[in-house]
Amino acid sequence: MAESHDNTHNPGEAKMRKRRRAMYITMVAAGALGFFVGFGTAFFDLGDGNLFAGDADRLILPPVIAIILAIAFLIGLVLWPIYSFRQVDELVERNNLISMSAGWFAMIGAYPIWQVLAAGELVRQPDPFAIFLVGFVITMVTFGIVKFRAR
Amino acid sequence: MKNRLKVLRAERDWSQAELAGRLDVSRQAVNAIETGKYDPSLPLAFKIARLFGQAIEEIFDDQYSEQAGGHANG
Repeated sequence: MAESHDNTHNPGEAKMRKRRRAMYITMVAAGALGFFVGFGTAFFDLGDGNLFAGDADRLILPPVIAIILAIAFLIGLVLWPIYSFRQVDELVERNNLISMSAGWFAMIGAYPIWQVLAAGELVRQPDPFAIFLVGFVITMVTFGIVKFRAR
Repeated sequence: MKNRLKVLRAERDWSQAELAGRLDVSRQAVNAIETGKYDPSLPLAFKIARLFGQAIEEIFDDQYSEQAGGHANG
């Protein structure tokens, strides 16, 4: 046991443990940020809408809270992923690029497809959150598939 | 792409995690390269070659180098 934790003889494993720790911290921080946003929208909602339930138009927030939550989304969904992109190795970077491309194409296609179907009165009008969800879910599912295939 | 990474790693009695740490990549990346499911970038291939003190073509086999070499040599 002492041998496997010996940083002199196993500098690579020591580095990997450090890397894993950083990943766990990132995951906990991401969870905390998600909780903060979810709690924020639920606790401060002055209307009776829900950002994640398809009735976001009935969500009413105090302006200051709205700005804080917007900043949280900017950090969590834009800045943090961009930063994280620079911290991962080339395999994960490739997996990210593939999955994000899939999510992007799904989202780009989802709106016009849905809109023309709605124009034909086959489905209801497009919902912004559902469009977002299409991109998000496709990205996550594709990442899982690509990661599994590279195992 | 076939490679001798697993053999070279075993010769040094290194785990995948040990090699990954020395290459500054994830253990999954090492595993994917060893099993031929992922071809490393040129910078990473050079890093691997330097770590094991060998030329890239001694570690990685692009499977058509003989054919290409044959053409180059006439």
